[in-house]
Amino acid sequence: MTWFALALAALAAATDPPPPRSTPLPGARAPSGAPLSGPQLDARTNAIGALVRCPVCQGLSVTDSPATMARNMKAEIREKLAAGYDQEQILADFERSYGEFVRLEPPLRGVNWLIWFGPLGGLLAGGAAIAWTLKRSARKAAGDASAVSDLPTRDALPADAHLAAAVRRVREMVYGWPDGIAPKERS
Amino acid sequence: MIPILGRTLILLALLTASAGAIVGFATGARPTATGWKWARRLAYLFAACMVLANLVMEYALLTHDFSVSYVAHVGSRQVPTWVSIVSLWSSLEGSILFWGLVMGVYVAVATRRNADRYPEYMPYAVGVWLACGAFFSFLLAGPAQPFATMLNPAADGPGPNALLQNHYLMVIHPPFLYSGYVGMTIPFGLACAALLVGHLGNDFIRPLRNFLLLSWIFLTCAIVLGGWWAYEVLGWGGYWAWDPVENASFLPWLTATAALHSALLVERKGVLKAWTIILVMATYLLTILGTFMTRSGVFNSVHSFTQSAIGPTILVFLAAALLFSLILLALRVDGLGAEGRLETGPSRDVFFLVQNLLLVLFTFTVLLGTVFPLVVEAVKGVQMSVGRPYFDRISVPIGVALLFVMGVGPALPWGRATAQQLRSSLLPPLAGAALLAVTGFALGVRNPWTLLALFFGGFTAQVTFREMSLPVRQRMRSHGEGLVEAFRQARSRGQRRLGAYVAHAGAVLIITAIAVSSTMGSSKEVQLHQGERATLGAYELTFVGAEQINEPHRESVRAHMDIRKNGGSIGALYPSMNYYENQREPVGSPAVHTSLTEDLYLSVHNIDAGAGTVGLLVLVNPMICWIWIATAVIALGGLLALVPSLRGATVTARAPISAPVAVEGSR
Repeated sequence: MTWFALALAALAAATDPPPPRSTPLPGARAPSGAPLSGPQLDARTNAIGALVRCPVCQGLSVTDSPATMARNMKAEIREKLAAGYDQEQILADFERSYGEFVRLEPPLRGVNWLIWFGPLGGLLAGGAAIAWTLKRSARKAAGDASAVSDLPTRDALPADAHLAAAVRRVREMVYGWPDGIAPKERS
Repeated sequence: MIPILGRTLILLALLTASAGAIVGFATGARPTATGWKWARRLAYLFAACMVLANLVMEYALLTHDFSVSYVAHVGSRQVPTWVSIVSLWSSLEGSILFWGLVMGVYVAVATRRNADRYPEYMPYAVGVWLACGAFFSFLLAGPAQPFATMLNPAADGPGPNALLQNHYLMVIHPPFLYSGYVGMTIPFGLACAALLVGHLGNDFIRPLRNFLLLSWIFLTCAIVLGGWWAYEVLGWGGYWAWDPVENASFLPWLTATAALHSALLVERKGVLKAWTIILVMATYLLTILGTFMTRSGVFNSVHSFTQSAIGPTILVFLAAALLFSLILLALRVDGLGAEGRLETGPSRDVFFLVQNLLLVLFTFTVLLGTVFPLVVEAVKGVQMSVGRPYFDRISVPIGVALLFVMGVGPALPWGRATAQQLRSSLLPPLAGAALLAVTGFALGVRNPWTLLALFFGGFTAQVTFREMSLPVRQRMRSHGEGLVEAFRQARSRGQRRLGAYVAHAGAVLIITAIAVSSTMGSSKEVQLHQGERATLGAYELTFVGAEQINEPHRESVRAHMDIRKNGGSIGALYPSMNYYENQREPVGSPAVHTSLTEDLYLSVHNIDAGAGTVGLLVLVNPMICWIWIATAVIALGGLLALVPSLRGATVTARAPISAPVAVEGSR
């Protein structure tokens, strides 16, 4: 089943790539995207606001927070989007003012690799552990199977007479064989 | 007087718990009837002390005895009586006292129920429970100290945190949460006992599973009640923000869910014993970690009340419990080898493993994301955030994969499946999958993840219903019973199984509702003058005016909003801003109009009664109400699965053997 989980992880990576490495301070602060307006501007404002932490709230994003400061920051995002700045430029600006703290989604750099690729490592390790468990179980099954072949068939009776009588009674009850003897043996 | 009485009871609890722990361990090592009798007595005494201490605190809160430090801290003559009662768990010291109450009750019940059973394990289990009890008594006697004496008692106090007074859900959320959290102590003690004894018998997994399931039901409800409270009170329109404190409650839930499933394999096949023990221990350690995170103030979060000496003390206990668990595992895990074996082909067995992997991976990821910023800050001195976008990104694929596993696993038979069996069990549910996905698409769902969730949701729903109705259909066919009789019989014979599938049905519903509500909503911010209108989707809102309301414990300014949907009036909503005494910032109270298909959610950003203006956040959230309904379904499923085991009846579906005695006699 690991393939399935891996496929999902791959799908996750394909549809939602982790945020790219943040670019160093752009010397010329020229807007690098197309100016936005209308419903597209609203949607992008909310999407980028969701990545920015409201500095005075308790873990809420700028999009979610009702605080005045958050709403001012949201307005700033909106202005910059309207002027044509792209997501990475806007996030980098906030980061310069408030520190890395302001980014709710850790950018992919330095130690943050751990947090993005740790779960993938966990998935691989877990998949390997399951494969190993199943392999061991299969080996054990192979061992059992060879052991079973040495045992008497279900028609056979133990040598001890007392024990044989008991086994026949059990077979009579469980299988409904009269006197606990298999039908094919009778015929 | 009251502070002294309270402190005496706490010290007595500490004394009985410590003595009981020692007696328990000693009796476990060298069993004697006297030792076991005294271990039990001390467990009951510990419970009695904790119950009495809580009653004393309630008395002090209700009589506004401000000579008790905790009452001076959270009590107030201005608040209604119900607020005084629930103030017990509204702040740090009281919540630990309440923890002691819940723990006492759990320990007493678990001891009483198993007083005559499992003689080799129980003394150790009581020893472990009381050792944990001794720690919390120590916390109450030393660092927390709710019963400290105030030398110059004030005439009145500040009252509890305004956010907690704001909504009735905050009254019931903490008791559920503590019943879930503290309850995990019982399976932990039983797991430790199994390790101390050196083996885990097939019968002993049952009390472990029962208490795990009971706590799990409470924890499930608590998590969703917390989300519901956030939704109704915090005003940002969502129910889950991946706040560290929310994560703290979610982490043990994940491992407990995994343990409930792996315990089934222990019971059924005698495999995964050590793994189940590890999950149970991890669950308890995560509750202690959660307590540390919520009670120490390491995270700046709505739930973290204060900074105090309690945090480091809990951290020391967490380290000690972790060390104890690891050493015990290292020394004794060999005794927990498998008796049976797992099927290796495509089978239900394998999907149990995959489910466990996914849940543990989920736990690992949430834990990583929650603790990572703390570690980075401690090591590098840089503040960073790991927030909702990260957790959403990770949890969506895992949630969808869980939905998939929940469908395919139960569809497959135990043991090895043939190609024919695979086809006949996996192909028909694709109809349900296609139906739900196409319906979603027709209703406008375009997000690929939501469509995938709907697809697997439909698949799993059909499998779940098929498995639920299978015993009924079989009885109708083979016994010729009518539908009602067949259902009654099937239920009474296989209630645990039925409960499990009811819980699965609830899980399908909740994952689907979360997927739809988080991707299909719409929102708008509006600024309105008196008499002005705004529209969002089918809704039309008119701001009639701002009203001032004075209550004994707060003043509110509320916006009167007339709501019309598709032209027809559906009444008025009153989102408000509440001003509490001794509270600088006002607290918003959103107003929600709930229907089965969607919620209209109004939250006040700003309101000026004089100028007659209001700033509102307007949201339309689809399917929210199904999250709450699904939780009730899951809890019901849990209870159905719990009840037959509590009665002690072995509920196994087996064909009646016709009169074996007569067969014997006839010979």
